Parts: sequence; structure tokens; C-alpha cells
Amino acid sequence: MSYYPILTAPYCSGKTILYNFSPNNWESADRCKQHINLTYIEDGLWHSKTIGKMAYNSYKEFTHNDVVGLMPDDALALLSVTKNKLPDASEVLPVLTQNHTYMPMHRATLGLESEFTTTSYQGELDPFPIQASLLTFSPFMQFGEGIENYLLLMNLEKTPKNREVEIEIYDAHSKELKKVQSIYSNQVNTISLDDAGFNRESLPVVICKGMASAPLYFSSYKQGELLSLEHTHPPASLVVHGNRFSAQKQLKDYWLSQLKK
Amino acid sequence: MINNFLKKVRKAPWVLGQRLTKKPASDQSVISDLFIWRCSQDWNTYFELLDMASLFGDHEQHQIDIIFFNDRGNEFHRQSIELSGLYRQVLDISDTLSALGELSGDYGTFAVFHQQIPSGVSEIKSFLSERGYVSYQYKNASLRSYMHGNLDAIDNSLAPLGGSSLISRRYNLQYLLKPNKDYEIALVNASLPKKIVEFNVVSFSGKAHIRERIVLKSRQVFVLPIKNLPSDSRLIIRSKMIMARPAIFCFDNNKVDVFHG
Repeated sequence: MSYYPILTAPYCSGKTILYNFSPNNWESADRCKQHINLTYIEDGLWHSKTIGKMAYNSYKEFTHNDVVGLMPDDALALLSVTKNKLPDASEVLPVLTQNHTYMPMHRATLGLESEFTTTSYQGELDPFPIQASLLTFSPFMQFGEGIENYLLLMNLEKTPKNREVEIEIYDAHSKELKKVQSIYSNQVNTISLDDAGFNRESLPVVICKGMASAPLYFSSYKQGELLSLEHTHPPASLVVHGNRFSAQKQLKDYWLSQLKK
Repeated sequence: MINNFLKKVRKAPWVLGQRLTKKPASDQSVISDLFIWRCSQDWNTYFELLDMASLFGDHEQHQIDIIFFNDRGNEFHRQSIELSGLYRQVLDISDTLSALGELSGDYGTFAVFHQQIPSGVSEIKSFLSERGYVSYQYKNASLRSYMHGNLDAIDNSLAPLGGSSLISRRYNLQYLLKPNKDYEIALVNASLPKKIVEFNVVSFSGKAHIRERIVLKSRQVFVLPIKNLPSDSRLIIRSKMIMARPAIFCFDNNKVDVFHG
């Protein structure tokens, strides 16, 4: 079972919808009332609180307003659905073992809601290894008056820290460094792409040698009147069968050697 | 230990000989999703052409073949396109289709096959797979909604690669269908045999709102409209597809959000 963050983005508040039913009928899953947990970092520890229960075959919606006051303002809000309570405090992110399915994964609706509309994707968040890196190509930028483009880098690691690393954003063709920005582990990091000098023909490539993240691309028109949200696939998804992770390594080795500050 | 053994025994009829994606017959095959195109007064479709061989470090001139299928899964157009290396290249699918004259329907699928396979991909016995990014523009909105590819659906001999299940499976979409919104649920049969598919939209108390049973031919796409739901609901898809993951078009007045289930 995975964690389900409440997202943050400009002009929007996050809304996460949790489900207590299995996405299929053939992988083993408990059909019972479950705890809804809120997990966050405070004072160098992971803290978890039960914030409700969910009957089997039901859903529950959570926004940031639902967790304000329950955790520090700047902490990443992680929701989960488990049969047993999570430890109140721990030095390592609690492992969620129950009700794990693979085809498909057990997901939540991770959404962003503006004053005017909503956008969402079906997702989950599992902890990344601390040694992992990020490579993502972004063909999602949209152009026109009133349009803003952001990269939302969502990281989760087992250690309850907000360690700081740098991401580098390049033009894939010229290999020109366009932007450097600090990001933090166990956060949704918001990075504007509009001040990096990209145009309609540019293919931005984002690397982070010190941290992996789920890259979400978010666009807004007229401060939230219209919204668009999608994530890129990990590089291993460019191939199927065989040794896919060797393909990912090839791509990362190639691009990390090509792109130098 | 006995519990684990029993779990494996129970799972066996669902997994033995039932791969999500079959291996193509030829080592030189390339693979594509069957992406959904929509082309009408209300809809424009775009595809982000990424030069995959260039991403792997091969900087020759590359091409793709794009093949269009109608809503019954029959090919009606194909063309080759030169790629522009590491520049961003957006293919206006609606423009391409409009130039062909009158279409037999306003939606269908298309596949994108890369003509050059990076040597590193063949060496690891993997297959290059296009699961890239489609965007949809609804009613000429200023912002497009992006959706990533999902399945390794078809190879360049047009052989469908989706696996089939021995037993009918349920895909329980973990998404909340709301009464104040309209939806269109698109499902593609990426397997060779035709599939009987049953769509059930039910309330969380189990009351059936919509029940539709269809037969999907190989490569065929079906769009289920959902309107005027009396209560919060969810979708269950029953079929012998291993993964009947639909694309969801969510309408909120004149705004649309598009994503994978």
C-alpha cells in the first residue's frame, strides 16, 4: 500500500480522494473498515495520526483545510488507508503492507482545485531510495497570454528530513543550462518554468543528481480559470520487456554526462 | 508459510500464462500504445513527438510511422514523419485528419512507431515503446489537457500485444463519479480476440445506475457517456482484458479534464 499526498500548486488547493475498495477482484485484499492516517514530519520524526475511518466500499475526500492545525504548515501531508494504526512517531517512514495490488496499483485521486475548476490524476507515492536520481523530459509547456507553467517535483524518502539538493533544467537540444533551483526531500516542490527562456520548439530536460522525484507538470490559465496536470513516465517506460532498468541506466548515464553546469 | 502457499494457489488461475503485454514476434519490432484521437467541432487532438533514438544519444535523422484507426479498429491512414531531434515537435492530429476529408467518426485511435531502434535497446532484448503524451483541446480552450500513454498495445506489424485473461476480471476504477459532472469513459481493446465488456456505474450503496454490455473488436475503441448521475458513483468494468484501464474525460461545464484510470 502506498501513501497519497495532498498536492499543492499556485492558485489551487490540493484535494485527495481515498478509496477503500480494491482496484481488481483477483489480488488479495482485506474487505474491512480501515483507518485513515495522516503522516507528516515534525521535529525530525515521522508522526502519524488517525484522522478517521473508512467503511469498506467507500471513499473520503480530504483537502488542505482538513489537515490544517493537525501538522506543521509547511509539512507534506501524506494520507494512507490501513487496517492497523500507524505508530504515533517513528524514525523511519512507516511501511504500509496491507492491501497492496499491482495490476493496477491501489490508487487515489490526486487533485488540484482552483476557484473555477479542478484537475487530477490517479496516483500514489512510495518512498524513493536516497541514492536515486531524476531525469525527465518535459513536452508539456503551454504558451499564450495568461498561461503559467510549473514543474511540481514530489519526493518521499524514508528518513524524516527535508534535505536540500539542486535541480538543473536544460534545453535538450543546445544543452544550455536554463535554470538551477533548490528542492527539498519530503515535499512537493514548485518550480516555475516560465522564467527559464524556453519557447515552443524547446524540449526542457530536468535532472537532479541527488534525489529522485515524481515529476508533475502543471499549467494554469488566468490564475486557475483552466488547469492542466500530468506526470511524465520514468525513463524505463521508453522500453518494454528485457532489462528495462538497464535502458533507464543508459539514458541517465548519457544525459547526466552530457549536461554539465 | 502455508498462508503464502495458499495465496499463490488462489492467484494461479489469474496469472499463469496471462501476461499483461505479449512479446512481439520479431526482435526488431517496435511498440506503441493505441492513443485516442478526437476530432470534431469541439475537439482537437495533439501528440508530442519525442525522438526516442535521439534521447538515447543517436543523433542521425529519424522518422516515425503514424497509423490511424477508426472507432471500429480499422486502419484508414498512415504516414511517415521526419523527427526534429531534440527539439520539441507537436503533431496536430486534428489538422492531419481534417486534411483527409470527411472522417467516418469523430474518434478513433492511432499508433506511433519509431523507425530507428537505439542499439542499446536491442542489446538488452527490450523493445522501444511509444507511450507518450497526447493533449486534448476542448471547445478551443486556451489550455490543453494532457494524458500519458498507458499500454504497450500493438507492434509495428499491427499485432495487438494486450494479454487476455482466462477468467473474467473486474477493473474497479478508483475514481469518484460526481452527479454534477459529465463523463466519457474510453476503453480500447489492445488484445487480439474480441472482448465482451460490461460497464457498470453503481452508487456506493451498490445501486446500478448504468449497465452497458458491448463487444469490442481487436483495436476497437468505445466511448461510454455518463450523465445525470443521481448520486456519487463508481465504475466497474468486467471483461477478459488483463488491464481494462480506461481513459477518462471529465466535463465540468465547458471545461474538461482528461486522465487515465
